[in-house]
Amino acid sequence: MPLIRGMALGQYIPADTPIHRLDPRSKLLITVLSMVLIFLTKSFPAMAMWAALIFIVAKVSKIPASSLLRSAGPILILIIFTSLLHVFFTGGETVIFSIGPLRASAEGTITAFRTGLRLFLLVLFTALLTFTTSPSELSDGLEAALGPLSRFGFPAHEVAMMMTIALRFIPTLFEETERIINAQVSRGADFESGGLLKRAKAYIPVLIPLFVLVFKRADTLASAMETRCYRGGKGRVRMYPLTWGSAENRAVLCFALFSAVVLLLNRLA
Amino acid sequence: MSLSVADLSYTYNMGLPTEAAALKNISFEAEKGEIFSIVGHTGSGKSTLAMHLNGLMVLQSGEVIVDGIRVGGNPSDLRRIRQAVGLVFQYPEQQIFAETVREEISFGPSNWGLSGDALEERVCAAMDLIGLDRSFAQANPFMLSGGEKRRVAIASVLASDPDYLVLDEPSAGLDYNGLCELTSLLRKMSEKGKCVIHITHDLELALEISDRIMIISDGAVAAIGSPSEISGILSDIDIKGLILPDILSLSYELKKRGRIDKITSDPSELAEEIRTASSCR
Repeated sequence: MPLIRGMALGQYIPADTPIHRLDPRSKLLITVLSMVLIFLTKSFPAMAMWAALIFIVAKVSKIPASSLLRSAGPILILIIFTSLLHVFFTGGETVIFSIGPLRASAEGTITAFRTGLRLFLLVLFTALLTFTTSPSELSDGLEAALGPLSRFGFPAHEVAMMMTIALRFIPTLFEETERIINAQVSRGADFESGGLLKRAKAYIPVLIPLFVLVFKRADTLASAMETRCYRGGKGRVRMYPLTWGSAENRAVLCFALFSAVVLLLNRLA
Repeated sequence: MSLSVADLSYTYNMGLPTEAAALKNISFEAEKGEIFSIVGHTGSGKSTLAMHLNGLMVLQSGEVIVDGIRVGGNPSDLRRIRQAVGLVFQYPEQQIFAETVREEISFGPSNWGLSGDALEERVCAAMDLIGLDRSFAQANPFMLSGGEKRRVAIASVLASDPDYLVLDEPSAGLDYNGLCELTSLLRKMSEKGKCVIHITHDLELALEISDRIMIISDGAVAAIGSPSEISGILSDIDIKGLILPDILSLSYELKKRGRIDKITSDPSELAEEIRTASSCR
């Protein structure tokens, strides 16, 4: 059933690579920094460098390029929509073409291309994090990163746990959805023909069982956690404490050097 | 007319580090009027195979032919194939969505274009077949017991009147009575001339109700034959996590000690074997 197969967002691909082995805090730090830096990037050569970095990291992590590109699928519409808005509403002197009152300028088209590319690179970079970091590692990393805020009453552990559960259940929910879609398709349900309203209505037999299943699962999970004496982060210890070693230092240093080059290229452009 | 599978192979996550071959060169043919059981351990590829039979999976290699129509050949044939091959998923009660039992059961046939009296007849026939009282028709399926929900879900597939009925682990989670009702339904369906493809990990149940059995192990066919043929060779093949029925274990032990000549999973046949062997001695 090709309806939802291929959605890779939030899917961890286990492998034994240097990137997989990095402490999740270092990967989180690099991802957060990259989000800021990608948005600061204006020049196309700098963007090409980002793309090269992403694909080199993917190669080292043994993440197939096809899986990486597919991870941008769910937000492709958003990227296209944002780019189109820029084409028509950025304004500029050189008009390329016009549709009624809408005028597409050369400046707008360049801005649209730049914004679209930035969003695309951003999604790919963040996908690398979820491809190479398991949900539990991500949770541990988040908890450690948010830890200092708990002094001010911020529920760092609980937030990290909620994010872990959400991330952990993305693939499961995809599988459940696919299973229900398959069951309804085998009973003749048609999700691919008709107008928008008909297609939306066709999903009712999928959404109702899915909601029932999700609530049941949430209830079971809560009970299972409670029966194992889960009471939030207070008093919890770790079986595998996080370790920041020389590999993490090297990774952050390499990223810092890369960022410096990118910023330089940006300034020169 | 039959359902045939030839050299079917399927690999999940192809090209990824998590690549896993689910099916390896599977070939078999199931005829109308027979109960054909596919038995395998957890993760042996049974469910992947079931979905191929209904055209739910895109074929990677090999072919599936239903009544002469090739799955994946002409896209317009897909609806005919899905109409001909009814697929009951594991825990089918999880696919229930309608407000009434009647509406749930009529979902399939109405998708195939049935309406009015013809649709009503199909719903009633499916309810009768599964042993659901007609007073349930207006009941809310979400308020029914687990066993009743399972029956509603199976009835919703039967209502499409498929020639081939594929059931993926239909006995999972059923109590003894539920199991008896299920086996009686499967027999009833095969007597009506339908081909029942029963997918299970319950070797004992398969040996009891099937006309033919195919054992799959790690995605490949390990053995195929009648229950008596399969009983005779089970000790020679790797059945992984499957549990050997007690009667067969006893049979193998007696054969090993030279007390009987023929392996059987039928208790009365085994008693007869022991009696014959004792009298000869």
